[in-house]
Amino acid sequence: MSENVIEVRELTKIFATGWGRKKRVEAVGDLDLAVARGEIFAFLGPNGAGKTTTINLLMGFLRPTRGSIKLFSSPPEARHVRSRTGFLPENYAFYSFLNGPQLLDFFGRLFRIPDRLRRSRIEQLLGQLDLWEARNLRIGKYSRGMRQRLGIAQALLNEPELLILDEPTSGFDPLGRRMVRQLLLQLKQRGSSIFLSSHILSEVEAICDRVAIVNRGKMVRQGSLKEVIGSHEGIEITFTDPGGSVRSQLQELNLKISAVSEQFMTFAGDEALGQHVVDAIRLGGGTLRAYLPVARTLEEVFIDLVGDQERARVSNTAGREEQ
Amino acid sequence: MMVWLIAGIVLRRLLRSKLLGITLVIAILIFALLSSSLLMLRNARSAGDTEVANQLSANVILSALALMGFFACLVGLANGVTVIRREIREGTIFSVLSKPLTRAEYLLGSYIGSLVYLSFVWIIFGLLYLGLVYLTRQPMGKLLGLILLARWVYSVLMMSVAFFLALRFNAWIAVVLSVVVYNADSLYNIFPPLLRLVHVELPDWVKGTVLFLFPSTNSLDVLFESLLKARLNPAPVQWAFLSLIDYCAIMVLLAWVVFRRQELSPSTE
Ligand SMILES: Nc1ncnc2c1ncn2[C@@H]1O[C@H](COP(=O)(O)OP(=O)(O)O)[C@@H](O)[C@H]1O
Ligand SMILES: [Mg+2]
Repeated sequence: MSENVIEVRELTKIFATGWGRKKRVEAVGDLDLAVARGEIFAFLGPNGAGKTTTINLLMGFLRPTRGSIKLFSSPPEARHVRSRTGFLPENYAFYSFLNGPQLLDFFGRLFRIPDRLRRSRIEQLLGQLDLWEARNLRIGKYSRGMRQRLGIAQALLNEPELLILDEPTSGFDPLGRRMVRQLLLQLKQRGSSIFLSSHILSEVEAICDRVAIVNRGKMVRQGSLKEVIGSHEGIEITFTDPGGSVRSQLQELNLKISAVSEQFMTFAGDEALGQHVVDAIRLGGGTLRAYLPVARTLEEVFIDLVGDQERARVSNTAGREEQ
Repeated sequence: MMVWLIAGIVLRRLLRSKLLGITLVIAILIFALLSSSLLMLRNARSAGDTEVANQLSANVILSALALMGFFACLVGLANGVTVIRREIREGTIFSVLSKPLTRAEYLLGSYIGSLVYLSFVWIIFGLLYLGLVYLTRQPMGKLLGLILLARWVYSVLMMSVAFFLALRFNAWIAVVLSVVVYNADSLYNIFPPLLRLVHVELPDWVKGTVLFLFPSTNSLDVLFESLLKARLNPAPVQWAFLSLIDYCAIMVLLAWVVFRRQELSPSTE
């Protein structure tokens, strides 16, 4: 038996849309994923990258055009898979005519959790997620944040071994986000795996072990947080530019700049490149005021990678048009 | 077990809609519509005109049934089309189907929930019906009960057809097709005479196929109308019922065939 709770091979999903279903959209293309037991895996990409499509494939709501999906070494619909998985959809919606405990009771029965245990777990979860006070309120009257917390609660109801969350923090205020983070870390400590998608990187950076970055349905990069960020060391410099020629010197270096102002710049690169930059500043008649190697954030890596790809794509299509 | 849980939640959702209230209003309206006939009936009775009285009472009962049946079919049609589509559109289906239950259980639960709801509609109508039977003093008690049952089955049939078609087609196409399928055997009767006008005679097997493929929604009506005048011969009634119930079962089966492998995504709506 493999230790991977999720194993996805060459997953491709092509939607046929439009009149006569002639227009084909490749939402996911040749995706390979492996999520190990006990890790928090962040599935990252801009809007429209194919994250939700992938997750709907993982949950068996969509059927792959090609490729295979295994959760706990079984197909997604298998009953034992469902019993061990918790899921929060992207645009979650719950029966608005029930109140929180009623909804969780309904789901708990679907999970076949015995009466006593079900009741105590519901009470505990509602308490943890700050929903106990509102236990008599219909879900239809919930605020956005409450609804989101209820969504998390129903996903945790069966103490899942695998938690799949599609953009779990998008509706939260900062306090709520922290609560979710803590819950996820708790779950991880119990040995569960978590697969979450997001387009807001700063939120997952603090908790995830491994990340996959997708763009336009294709895997851009996958690896441990260190691997992905570490390979993109950055440098922050402050300098003076009295003659105005430092700027043109720097331009010739074709830097990957992520932040820039008149006398300040952050760019991707290692020590060697940093040395070139320092030389360029001198050559342009400026002085270096500060030089600071920085660990780059996931956000910057992401913009770099996805930005690169977009640039390549644009120039590709431009090239094709010229021919 | 899972099926009943789903049926329960579907029923609760349907009960929150205003449809039962509307049914009550419709029942009162039907009663008001028939009140003049009831008055005439009383006058005929007091004048000792039994011939006219019998005619009138049969008319009251039959038109009440037709009106109730029509409305119940609308309810069945609406519920059949929307019961699962709405869950997909609103997104409530996804958190449910991610739990350990099969799509078959979900489908059957939704169907049963709608079925029970439709039966609630018929409880209201049944009470109205009992009242009318009492007021008109219709003598054929058992037979009248059967007719009521037949109307209930008709509305269930409409719901079942819509239930299947709504999974396969978009909502409005499903509505139109359901009405066509439901009325196919009446609609079919229009074609042969039309074709005869241009000297085309349809072979027998065409009629046979049509009658085989579509539910015989006229059969019970025709049967009962004749029975109101003559005596009851039970065998054909049972067969007609059975064929309609079979048809409902086949619709649910077909719905499952479609739903089993259906792609569910909020953007397909
Ligand atoms: N049911 C569908 N039919 C056609 N195209 C779809 C469907 N669902 C998603 N897509 C397309 O697939 C791409 C990926 O969408 P999605 O998975 O929702 O991205 P993300 O969740 O990363 O924002 C988008 O271009 C979207 O338009
Ligand atoms: Mg998405």
